[in-house]
Amino acid sequence: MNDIQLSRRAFLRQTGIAARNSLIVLSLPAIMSSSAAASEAMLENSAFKILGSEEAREFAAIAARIIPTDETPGATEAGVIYFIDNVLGTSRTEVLAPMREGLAALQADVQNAHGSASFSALTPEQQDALLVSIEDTEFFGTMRYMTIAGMFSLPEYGGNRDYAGWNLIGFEHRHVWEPPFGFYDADYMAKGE
Amino acid sequence: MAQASFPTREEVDFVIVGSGAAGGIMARELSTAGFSVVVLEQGPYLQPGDFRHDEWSYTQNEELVWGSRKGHPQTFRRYEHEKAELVDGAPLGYAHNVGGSSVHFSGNFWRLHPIDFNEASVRGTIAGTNFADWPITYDELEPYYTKVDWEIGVSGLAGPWDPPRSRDYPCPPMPVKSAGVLLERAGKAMGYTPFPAPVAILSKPFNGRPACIHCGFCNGFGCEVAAKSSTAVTMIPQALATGNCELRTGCTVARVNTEENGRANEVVYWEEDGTEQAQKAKAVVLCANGAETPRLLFLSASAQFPDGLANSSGMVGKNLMFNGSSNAAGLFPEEINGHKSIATTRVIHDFYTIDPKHGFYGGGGIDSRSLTRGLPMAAAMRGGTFSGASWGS
Repeated sequence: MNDIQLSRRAFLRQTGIAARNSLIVLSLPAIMSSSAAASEAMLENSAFKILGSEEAREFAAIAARIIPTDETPGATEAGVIYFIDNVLGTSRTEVLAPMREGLAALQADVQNAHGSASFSALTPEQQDALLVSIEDTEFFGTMRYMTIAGMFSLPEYGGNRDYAGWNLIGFEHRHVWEPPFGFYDADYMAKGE
Repeated sequence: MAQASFPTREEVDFVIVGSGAAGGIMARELSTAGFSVVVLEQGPYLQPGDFRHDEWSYTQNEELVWGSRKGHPQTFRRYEHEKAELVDGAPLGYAHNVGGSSVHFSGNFWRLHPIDFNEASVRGTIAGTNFADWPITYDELEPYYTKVDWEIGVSGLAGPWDPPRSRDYPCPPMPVKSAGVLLERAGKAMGYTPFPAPVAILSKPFNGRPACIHCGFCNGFGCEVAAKSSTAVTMIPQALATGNCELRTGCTVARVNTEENGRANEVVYWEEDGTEQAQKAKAVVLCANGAETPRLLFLSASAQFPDGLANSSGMVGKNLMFNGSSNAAGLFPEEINGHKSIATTRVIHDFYTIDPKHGFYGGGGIDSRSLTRGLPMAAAMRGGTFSGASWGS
């Protein structure tokens, strides 16, 4: 661990795909501007299939704290909410009702703690504090699962727009690789056993 | 020659239930020997071009293994006294397609060792169990292992770590990955014998199929270039080319019927749309894996065979053993890149057999691989495993 710097989105950078080879590092400004444009167009042009616009805004706000936007695109730019909307209406219909209940409980916490009607209206710091308090719930676990799945699944499912998720971790969508595949086998080729 | 087509009412020589590792080979052997064969397979005949780099679908939505999300619910219970309940996903996760699980498996292709066949004699029986030798020996089976190696295409390196073999591997070992290098170096430093993992994946072109392109969507996925030596790209095409074999996909077998003399003579099945059909046959070969085969034998119970077919011993459905595993994970300072190439490239068999005086029988292999296949979604899901937050900035 000593060599791994815990930086922004450290939880993604520990996943084994090297940040230093990340496309995001190579071409960050271009990716940020295209993602921003894409997410604007998407919000204007896309209707939700299952979610109402208000609850979609709240789920999107939670996803945006799980994979935040900072100097790199996050769940918002990747269109994760559209993935969530898609799977709640297809392969994950069984969690739609529990997710709505979970959101209602969270909104009640928001009301109690801040006297505000919606999670999305809170500051990021207030949002994070509330999410930490429900970290161990099934609701949060499912939100984390769907946010990550939406960030890194094929764009045809609604998220990972313009491959924002894959670019973030430097995952190249290729069909052909050749050895060496990683550091240690390159070293083995050079030095032997 | 074109694929055969047989009327259901006329008796064929063999009906084979399942087209996977066993059924594919039975189909090819029987049809090339001139017998008329009908193969019944639940799933579709997927072609290499059908397989996609779709982590969400294959790893989270049971694209190949089906289960409740694909309209094929399964029940599960841990103990006999429990009631089996419907569950999400597919606890019995075998691939529903022509080629069966030989399509989505890792490709790991170790042979059994001689001790596996006579372990009870060598190590002693175990009180309270029915632990027994196999009725055949490794030496008797060895020619068939070699035949399979050379007919489907297996990559590996013969050596003292390997059970005795009468012929070398047809293809050289696959290129080592970083995880393999770490296992090899650490294993050797500890005095063990790591060796190149034998895999049913082509390291070079073989029998008209191309070499692996190391795309990385391998274990749990289907091979997009037919370099993984599944029966779907090895045995089944040869069976169909004989003109003696008909492959019926989308057909789920319900039961095997027997005639008065007690011999199996008909297989009842449903087509995809639910239409019930029955195929007459002189003999029936059940190749429906270790769980579905005994299930079919039970489902085929009749007045003549109240305990199910082939169950005079009462042993049907007992002693099923799965591929058990345990794992340890580590974080390394440099790039592993588990998302490239095949699942595993080095293995250690020094613990394959363990003296029972250490407290347990058997043993196993140790390989090195990315727990998450190195793929983005699974890797991110495990974010925070080693330290730090699992979400957020």
